[in-house]
Amino acid sequence: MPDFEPKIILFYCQFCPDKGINSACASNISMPSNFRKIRIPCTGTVDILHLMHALEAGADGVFVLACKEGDCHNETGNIKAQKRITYVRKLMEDIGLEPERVGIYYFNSSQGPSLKNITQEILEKISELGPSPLGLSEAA
Amino acid sequence: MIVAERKPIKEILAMVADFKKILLVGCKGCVTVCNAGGTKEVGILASALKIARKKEGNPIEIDEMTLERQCDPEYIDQLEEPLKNNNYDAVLSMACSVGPQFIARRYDNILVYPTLNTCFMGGALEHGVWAEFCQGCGNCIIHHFGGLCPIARCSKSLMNGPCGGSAGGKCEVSPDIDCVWHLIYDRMKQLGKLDQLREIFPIKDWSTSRDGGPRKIVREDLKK
Ligand code: SF4
Ligand code: SF4
Repeated sequence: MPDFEPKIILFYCQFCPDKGINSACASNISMPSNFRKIRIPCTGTVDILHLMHALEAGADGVFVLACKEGDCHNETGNIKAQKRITYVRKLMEDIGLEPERVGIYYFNSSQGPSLKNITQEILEKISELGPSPLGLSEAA
Repeated sequence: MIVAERKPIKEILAMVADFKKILLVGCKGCVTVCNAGGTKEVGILASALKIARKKEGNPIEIDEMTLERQCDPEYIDQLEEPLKNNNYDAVLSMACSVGPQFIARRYDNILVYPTLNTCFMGGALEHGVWAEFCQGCGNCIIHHFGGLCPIARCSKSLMNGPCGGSAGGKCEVSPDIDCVWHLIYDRMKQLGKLDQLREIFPIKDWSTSRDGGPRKIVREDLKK
């Protein structure tokens, strides 16, 4: 599928991941243009409904960039996000949509350069799966 | 509260397989508190069903609504307008199973489906964990047992326990179940009332329970 440009929704926390993204930018590593970034107060605010609605709207992948374990400013926001992602993945499995389209990555301010590895990994994973059957990429 | 959980999504998908447009109705009562059928769960289920059907190239239209309660006729009346103004193939209820029955009782021309399995009367042990505490026997006797219910919480509903299977505080049925008779013993000891447990509790009259058939409570002072 040579022309497939995955549409990725990325929720990221305003603390560690935001700083990490900024430090990546300072090193000239930018977020690929097909990532729609949504900055949120804490990954604990990412609701199952947000993830579902992004999938329903046809996103090819929906990911969360969270603070590392123990680094969450609200203590357990990243753990809650992980559990909600597990819930959505199970639901997707039940309805026959690839659960790998949803996931979580941990990232902090000192890891700026590894942003490239994360976005690359997401892009490879989603490219392998192909466009979401719900069609945002086709419509775009 | 009444504790329920959502049916497997595949079972619900099979229910709506022939439908193009449905009304999904949640309840703001018990099932909101136990995170099974409130506004949010209605949204999640609607989204999951729409994703599954869109993926198959057979989209389904789902209107969402959450009633104050589904166990009171005045709230069920609120479905009248939406049912009149829309050509729904069916109504799916996300209340405990009283809800879909109240909808079916009030509207005789629409198919009604339950999306939850109603499990028990209980409470939250912690966030996300609920356990059974009462079986609605119709004649509460927990004061004889330190305030703990041997009917709902003993696997054999023993009135004169424990049985020989109680070990280390756990029930022989499963290591996940606390033996309530162990708890009753500990609590009566704590209260200095162990001697009360020497008395043999007489056979319970089950006519106040389901054995007397479906039950009804009539309050003449409240009736119109
Ligand atoms: S004795 Fe009956 S009413 Fe009381 S808690 Fe047990 S089942 Fe419920
Ligand atoms: S082990 Fe305890 S809870 Fe289980 S059946 Fe026996 S008395 Fe009841």
